Order: sequence, then structure tokens, then C-alpha cells
Amino acid sequence: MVDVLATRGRRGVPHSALIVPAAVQVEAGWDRGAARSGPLNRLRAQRPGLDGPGADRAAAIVAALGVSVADAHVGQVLADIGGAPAVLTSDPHDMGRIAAELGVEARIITI
Amino acid sequence: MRARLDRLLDLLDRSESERDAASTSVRLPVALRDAAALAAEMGLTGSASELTVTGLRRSLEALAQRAVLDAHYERVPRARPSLVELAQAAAELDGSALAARPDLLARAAAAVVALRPGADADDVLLYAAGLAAVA
Repeated sequence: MVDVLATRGRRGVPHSALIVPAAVQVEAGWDRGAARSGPLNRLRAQRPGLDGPGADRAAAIVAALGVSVADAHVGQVLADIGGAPAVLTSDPHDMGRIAAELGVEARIITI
Repeated sequence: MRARLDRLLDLLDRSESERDAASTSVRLPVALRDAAALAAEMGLTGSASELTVTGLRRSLEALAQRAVLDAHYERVPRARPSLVELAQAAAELDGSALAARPDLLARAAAAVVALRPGADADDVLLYAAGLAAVA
């Protein structure tokens, strides 16, 4: 999937970015300073932060659904970027609940 | 090539946090420059400089991402996905009904690659959609 995004990105297809919200990065233990993270660092994922109004929205998602901070940050990013993004997740149930709560047309892809 | 790619990635990383900026002359089509200035005046975007930086970074990130993958496949050829696998991934990303038709994607990939050796996943999806439409 990263390959497809990379090909589309090079062609200038809009909305073809690979995004890893910062809270997901933390939860996944992706330490960019660690040697083993080298290959992952090179994939050029966008890593939006979580602060200000975004943090408020993520907190509201946690309050409403009781999901993790990382999942809530995904929800905040989904709401922020609009369109019909695809979410790669090992927890399609919670991601589906978040998308429904936000009224976002996200494609949930289980990995 | 590897060293230059590493240098490119390093510069892109640094550009995310670097505050220092340098004045650079860039030749822009006049109408494009004026459109950027007008969009900024209308409050649709930040300054023309901001717009240029964002666009340049986005383009370079896209080029770098593709180059990183290609370099990885050169080192580890078995990691390179097949055209059918790429088409499958593209269909899933797009939420296309073709994702449930791996047989069709395989047929389309075989046909497309014979027509166009440099075909990519989107070419296969288009061809597969055509096959599905006439079936």
C-alpha cells in the first residue's frame, strides 16, 4: 500500500500521503532515533502532532467512545483531512466506531 | 546514489524544524506568482513563500518516498510487490469492488503489462474495471 501511495504521490495525485499520527507513533514504539527505525524513518510518513483544537477533539473522542489516545488521534486526523481516507488498522471495530461518530467516510482496512 | 538519497532525506528532515531561511531567486510564470499573491490576499493560504515552501516540500517528499522504495527493492528484490499485489492494494485503498475480484485483477495485470511494460497499479485497476464492465 505504501508503494501505491508513493507512485500516486510522485504523479501528484492529491490525498496520496502516508500519515502516522504522532500518538500512533508513540504507541507503536517508533523511536526515530533508534537504529532499527531506519527503514521506517525513510518512508517519509507525515506525522501530525496533537495539540490545541486537535487535542480537544481527540479528548472528546476518548470521552465519547473510550478508545485509546492513539485511536482518538487517528480520528482527529480523519476529521481534519476530510475526503475519504483509508485507515490501516488491526482494530477495525474501534476505527469503525470512530469514523461513525465523526461522520467520516473512511475505508477501514484490516492489517 | 545511496549517499545522495540519504543526504536528501536528511535535508528534508532538517527542513521540518529549521527556522533559518534563505532568499532564493526562482523564476515563476508571472500569472502563477500573481495567483499565489491573490490567494494570499483572499485569505485562502498563507504567503506566497509559504505556499512555495509547502508545494516544494510536498513534491520532494513524494519523490524521496518513491526513491526510497526503489532503492529498497534494488537491495532486496524479493520485497518488490508484483503488479497484481499492487493492484490489489490500490483497490483496497480506494474501496473499489475490484478488491474482491483477485481473478480479474490478475487477468488485467497480465494484459496491461503486455501492452505497457511500465504499467502501474492504477493502469491495472482501469483495465480491470473495463473487463468487469463488459463481463
